[in-house]
Amino acid sequence: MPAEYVPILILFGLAAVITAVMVGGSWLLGPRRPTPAKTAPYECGITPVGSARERFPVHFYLTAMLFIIFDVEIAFLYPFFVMVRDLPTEARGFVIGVATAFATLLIITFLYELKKGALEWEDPVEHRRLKAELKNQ
Amino acid sequence: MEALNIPQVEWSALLPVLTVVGAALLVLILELFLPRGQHTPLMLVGLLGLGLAGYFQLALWGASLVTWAETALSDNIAVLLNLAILVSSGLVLLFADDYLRARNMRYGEFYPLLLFATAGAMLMISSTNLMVVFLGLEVLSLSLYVLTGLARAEVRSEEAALKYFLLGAFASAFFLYGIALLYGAQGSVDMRVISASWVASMPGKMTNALLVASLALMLVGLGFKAALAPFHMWTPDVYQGAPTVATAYMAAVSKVAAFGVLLRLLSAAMPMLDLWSPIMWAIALLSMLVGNLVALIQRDAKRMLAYSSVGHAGYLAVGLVSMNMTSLTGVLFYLVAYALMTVGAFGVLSLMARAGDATTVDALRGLARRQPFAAFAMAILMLSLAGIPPTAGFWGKWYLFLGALEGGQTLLAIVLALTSVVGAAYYLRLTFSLYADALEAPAARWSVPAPMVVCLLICLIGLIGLGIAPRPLAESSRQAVERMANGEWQVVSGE
Amino acid sequence: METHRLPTELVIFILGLPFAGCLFHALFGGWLVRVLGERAGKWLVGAVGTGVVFAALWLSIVLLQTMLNLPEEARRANHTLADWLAIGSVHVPFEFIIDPLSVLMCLVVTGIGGLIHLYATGYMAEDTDYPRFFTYFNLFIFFMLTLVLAGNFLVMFIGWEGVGLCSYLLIGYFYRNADWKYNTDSANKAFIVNRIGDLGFLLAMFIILVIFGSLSFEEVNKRAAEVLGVGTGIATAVALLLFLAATGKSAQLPLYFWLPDAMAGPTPVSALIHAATMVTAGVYLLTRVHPLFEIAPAAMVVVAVVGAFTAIFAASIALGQTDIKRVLAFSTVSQLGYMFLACGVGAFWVGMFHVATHAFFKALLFLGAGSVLIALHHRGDIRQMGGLRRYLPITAATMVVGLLAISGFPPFSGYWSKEAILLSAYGSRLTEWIPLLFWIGIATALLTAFYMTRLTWLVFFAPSFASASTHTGGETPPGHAPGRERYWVVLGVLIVLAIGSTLFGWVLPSETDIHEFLKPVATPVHLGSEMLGESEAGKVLVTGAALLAALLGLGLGIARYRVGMPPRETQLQGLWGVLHRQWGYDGAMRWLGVQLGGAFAWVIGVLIEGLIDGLVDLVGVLTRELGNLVRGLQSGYVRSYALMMMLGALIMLIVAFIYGWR
Repeated sequence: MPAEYVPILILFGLAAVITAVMVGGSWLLGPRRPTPAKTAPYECGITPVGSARERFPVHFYLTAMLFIIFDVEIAFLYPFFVMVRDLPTEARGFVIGVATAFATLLIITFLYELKKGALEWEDPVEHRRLKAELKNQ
Repeated sequence: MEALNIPQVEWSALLPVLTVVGAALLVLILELFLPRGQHTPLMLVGLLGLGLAGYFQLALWGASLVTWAETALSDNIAVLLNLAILVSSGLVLLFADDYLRARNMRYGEFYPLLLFATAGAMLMISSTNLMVVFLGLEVLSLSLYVLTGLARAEVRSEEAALKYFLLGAFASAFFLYGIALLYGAQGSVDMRVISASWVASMPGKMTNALLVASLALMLVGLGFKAALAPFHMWTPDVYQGAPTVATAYMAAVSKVAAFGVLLRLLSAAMPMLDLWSPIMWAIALLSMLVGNLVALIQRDAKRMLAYSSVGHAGYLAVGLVSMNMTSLTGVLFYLVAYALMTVGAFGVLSLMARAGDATTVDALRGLARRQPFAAFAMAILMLSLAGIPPTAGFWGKWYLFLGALEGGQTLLAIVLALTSVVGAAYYLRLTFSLYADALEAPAARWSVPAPMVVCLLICLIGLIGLGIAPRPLAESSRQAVERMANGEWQVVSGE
Repeated sequence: METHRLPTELVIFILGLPFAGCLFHALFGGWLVRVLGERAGKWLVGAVGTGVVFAALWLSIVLLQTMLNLPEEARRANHTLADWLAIGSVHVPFEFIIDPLSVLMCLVVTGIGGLIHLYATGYMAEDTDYPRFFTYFNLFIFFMLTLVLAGNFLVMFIGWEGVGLCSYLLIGYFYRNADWKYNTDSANKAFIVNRIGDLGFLLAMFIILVIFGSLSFEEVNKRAAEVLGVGTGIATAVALLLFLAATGKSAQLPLYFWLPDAMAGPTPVSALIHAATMVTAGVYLLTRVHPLFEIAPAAMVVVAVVGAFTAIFAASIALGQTDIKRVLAFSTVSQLGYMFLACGVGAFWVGMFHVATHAFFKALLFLGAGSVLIALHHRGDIRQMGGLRRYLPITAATMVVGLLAISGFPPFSGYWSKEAILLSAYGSRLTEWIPLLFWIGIATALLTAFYMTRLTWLVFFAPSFASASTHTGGETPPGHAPGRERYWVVLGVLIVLAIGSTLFGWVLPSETDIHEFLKPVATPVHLGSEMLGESEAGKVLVTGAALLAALLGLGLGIARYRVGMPPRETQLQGLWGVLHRQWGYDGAMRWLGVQLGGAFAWVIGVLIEGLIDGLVDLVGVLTRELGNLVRGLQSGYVRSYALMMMLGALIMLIVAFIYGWR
């Protein structure tokens, strides 16, 4: 067993113990006298309406996923631009080529999203219906 | 700063995969600018791409190249299996449009997804670098998850997609963990080093344990993809739930890809034979028994074919356990034949979409009256799946059987023969019911769409051609295996 | 002729002609009938179908003549069409063998086959599906020739399966008429029962391939004794597996019961496939690989006992049958039993001799029955026949020739071969059961004469049913008067076959000629002459007993059926009912097949479902707590699937560490 990993193991152990002590301690020592008002979810003093476990519109997930893709792109491209100037000339072409391929793929993806309407918040069908309703009024 | 090593690249080895990826991207963009529901150009571009890739692939026959910093390779095994994948993809691409229209699933995404999946499958076979293999596996799998759930109006399709996704992710995790352990043991993710480090490693050391665990975990991940028992549980649900064209594709292509990797991995791990052969032995036995016996009691043709594909995976595993020239030849031969048979069989089932998509054996009764050609094609495909001469299926089993005897796996050979008999029972039952009278009043005759006729003819000619003259393919497979065993590589890489 | 070797290339044409005929009918038959009109189209189809078979016959005769001009040791040649398979050291070419045995079978198949094709042009004249019939019929000839010319087990297996397929197609030929259910069921029965035999063939083939590394008959025969050893278990196993194959194809106990139902096909089919040629494939197989049997004395005894017992068993059943074709079917089973008896006592050439003579007279009898059926509008119940000699004089005369031949009266062909069988059985020293087998043979001869007399007499000579039924109060007589003999081809073929049945065996080629001809291929190589009945010692006794039995059977038959069938027998009461139901064997087999098969399937179903579900449930129960924790996953079965994967992976890891970790 490589001995150099032992400190990490100890760190894991310590983290677990400290967490257990803190959570367990408050749970053991703290007085618990629940009333309905106390157990209710905190909503700035307003009486809660419905369950807190509500489902979010799927748009949130979609946007989050798209964000990750471009986030990763930035994470790749930023160091690339920093480094590219320092590269030897014969390597530069190859590296730029790789980066271009990567960017092209992302651009195609981006075009696809744009055209498919994945970046529009409103549901296009719903949107048209609402517009028509407004006109009629 | 350190000098950057620019790898020298032999582009011809990468060309087939790149062509397919290019075609996929082209189709993806094209779909945006076409009027909704018009898919013929997509299909044509896709077919063109596959054809071109096939041409590039054929041109690589005989070469043994390793390139791109040893992450990509091309040898005869890759050529054979990639061609099988390309042909299966082409066939599915050809007949899918009619099915999608009949089921009212006009999603243009089908085409790029199928092509991406194909590229992924090809990538899996064209590398010994496990990270690249994993990349291919994920590209293939992710595309397949979406394809499975393509019929999003149907609960069953969605359920299948979710199941496939969850279990597939689980299996990928096993595979990835196996790769990680391998890296931990030897500091490389190339499967060809596994045997070297096994031989070099000192008994009782940590490295040893890591290698053992790594191989076992990778087998789990690949066993899942190949639908080997006990990792086959997803197969019937997913095959049944997925749109039939997607099923046709995944049944053929992911089996070829998974067995291609298994073939490479296990032959690279030859020195560890003592370790993996009992595992694969049990897996082969279990797959043959479970697949064939459970298929016997299925009422739905798609489910039946799903279980039978587990059985076929078992036969192929017999070839891997035996690990000699004959049995590996058999594995390659069988994979090519199996791809053709499966695509054809699910293709015929996809025709049933017109009749309300009932794919139960009862619904298939009397097909010969309604659609004589489809019934005839199905009958031949079933005979081939059952391994009855003169079809390609017979020779596949024959080589595997001989290989098993040669490799001293007598029990597996006997079980292979016996379960083939069980298999013949349910295949023939289906065949007979095609020619029996329908339970209800015979529906009107309908014609098979032209692309489907072409596909079925290709399948039938291929299967019967291979059945009558198995030697060319058998010889090529043998050459491929021999070259791999000799390990002659021309490495194009480095400074 | 100048040639010093056999013109083996002829094989391609002998095989190619019928196949070309088959393709011709399949591709153009229906079109021709439509374009040329029914009459001319059918004529052309019939002419091509018959012509190719006769052409093949002519080529076979050329082959025979060349062969007779050659010295004995040059009469054997191989023809390799193509290199078929090469797997490592194993090498299976697509080869054919030309020797006296295969040439004799070629002559029988194409000769009798040609005549029956000719007959069928008349018999099937009114069928609407004429080209389909000839497609199958020519295809059958092709496969049968492949079977007999095959030079190794695999090529023979192609023919073996092919004739089975044609048999299946032709039994179920009338799949659109009123009896379609019975016809297709019969076809399925024949197909399924034959699969059991094929299993024997396949297993034997695999064993031979593994042990010998070759499938060639020549090599296997040559090296049989040294490789397998005399009397060893493996030798017996191979021989018995091959015999199992033979019992399937040649309708012997325990697999005989498909043949009677196979009579559902058209009569020419019954005559050609289920009497003269295909069913003799088993005898041919035994003769072809006789060294394999000789080194397994125990298997030889089994062959002889099964043959003798089938002979008398089927003959007794034939007594109780009321359908003209079923009587003949059981008679075929019984005669095939004789052939196996001959093979079992080591007289392989006698078995082949009986194959040839039997082909003549059994084809004659079946075609005669066909002529009767044409006249009676395809109603075959012999209880409703009688006095037909007035309507069908030529048929009656030729059928009597057939009766005399099958009963073994000299000088008809059946006499020579049957006497040879009984003589070799009498003289054999293979087992202490021999006297019993011999007397079973004699008793079968008596029964044969009796039931054939019963058939012939009731059909042609007894008072007609119409007059008999007035005082027995039976059913109403048939509505139609019997028709006359209409088709000249039918009568012509009957007469040719009658002449053949009369002369074959003593004039045309005599018994000794055939013995000489077959000597190089059918003489036992491992059995000493002291084991065989070559001596002439018992000739007088054997001939006397056989003739007496035949005469007794003839006399008893005429005495019993002089005025028609006795009413107890007509109504199938008592013993007659038992015989009619084949001693209950067919019913028992059906029960076994259907009930036990169903039960087996049920048990498997329950086992699998119970096992798998139970296992999943068990896992589920054991790990419910764990399951609660991972509820975030989709509920339902994914959990169990993942769990199964997990368990599988765990077991794999454990196994890997047990076997692999060092």
